[in-house]
Amino acid sequence: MLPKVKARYPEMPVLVVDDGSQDQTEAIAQAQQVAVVSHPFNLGYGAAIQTGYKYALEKQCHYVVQMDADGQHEVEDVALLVQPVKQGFCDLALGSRFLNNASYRPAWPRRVGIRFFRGITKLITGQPITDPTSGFQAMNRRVLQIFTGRHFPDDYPDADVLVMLNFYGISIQEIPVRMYASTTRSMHHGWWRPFFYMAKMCFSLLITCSLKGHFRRRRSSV
Amino acid sequence: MVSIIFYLVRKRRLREEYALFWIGCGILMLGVIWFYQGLLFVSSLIGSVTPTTTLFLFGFIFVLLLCLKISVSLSQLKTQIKILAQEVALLTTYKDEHHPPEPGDSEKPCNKLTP
Repeated sequence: MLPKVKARYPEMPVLVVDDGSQDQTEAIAQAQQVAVVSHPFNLGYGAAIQTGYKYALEKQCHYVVQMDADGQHEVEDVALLVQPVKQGFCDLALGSRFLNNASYRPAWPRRVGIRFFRGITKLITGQPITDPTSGFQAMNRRVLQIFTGRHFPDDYPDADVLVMLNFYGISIQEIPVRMYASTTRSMHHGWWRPFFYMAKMCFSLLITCSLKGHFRRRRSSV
Repeated sequence: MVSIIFYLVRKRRLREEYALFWIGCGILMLGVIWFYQGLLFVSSLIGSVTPTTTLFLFGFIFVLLLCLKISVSLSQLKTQIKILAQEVALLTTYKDEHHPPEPGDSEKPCNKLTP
């Protein structure tokens, strides 16, 4: 995947975040001459992408595209995501696998969960977000500043983060992208996990809503 | 109890400030038994029939609050560790960008913990 990105967008600096993995991630990325940040131990998905955001903020990047490294995302679509952010149409462009794409159909319990949170998100923000867990997104510095703050979750950023961005006055746009099945095995195993996740998500949304005033007051600072 | 605390502190498995807290707890328990009349009085105040109920009630509330406090400390530590690890990882990367390791240098950046 890395050679593809480098070949297609040679002018873009690439950063690989290695979240304490025991495989050869670091060596492979270094062999490709791209920057690597390696966590000394596993910190979680959210913490890993936050490390990436911190790097980008430090490096004075104006725009950042975030991709999952398992080949889920189509390298060609990076341009589609960057364009609206670069032109100032929105602060955050989310790559959605559900817009204009019926090929991806998750199992029914997951579908119910997705529907549920989609409804809640729409209720709070007034904007329908079809794919809040998307790991394929482009953002500008305003979003980076929020994401490097202490309200960004360590595990899986979901609808709660989007609701938070909405309170901050960030404009979000969803872009239809192609997504492939992940080549690595799913992170969600154990029958209790979906229930735990649902409960946790509801709680996170509740907390985020209770912090609404806090985020609103900080609008001008981002 | 006191000897266990002493042992743990000597082995540096328990910090002194926490040890003092636990020794204080032990002394408090002794005090409660010493002033048995006081315990009976509190029992009659809260309407419990036996003084053991009073002890268990307050003990339970105390342990509950203690657990909550430990959860808070643990959360704080986790956040601090996360920020530290991110910082270490980023600093290692910045360092390598300014002084890239020699191709022949077999020494790897030592920020990986061995399992």
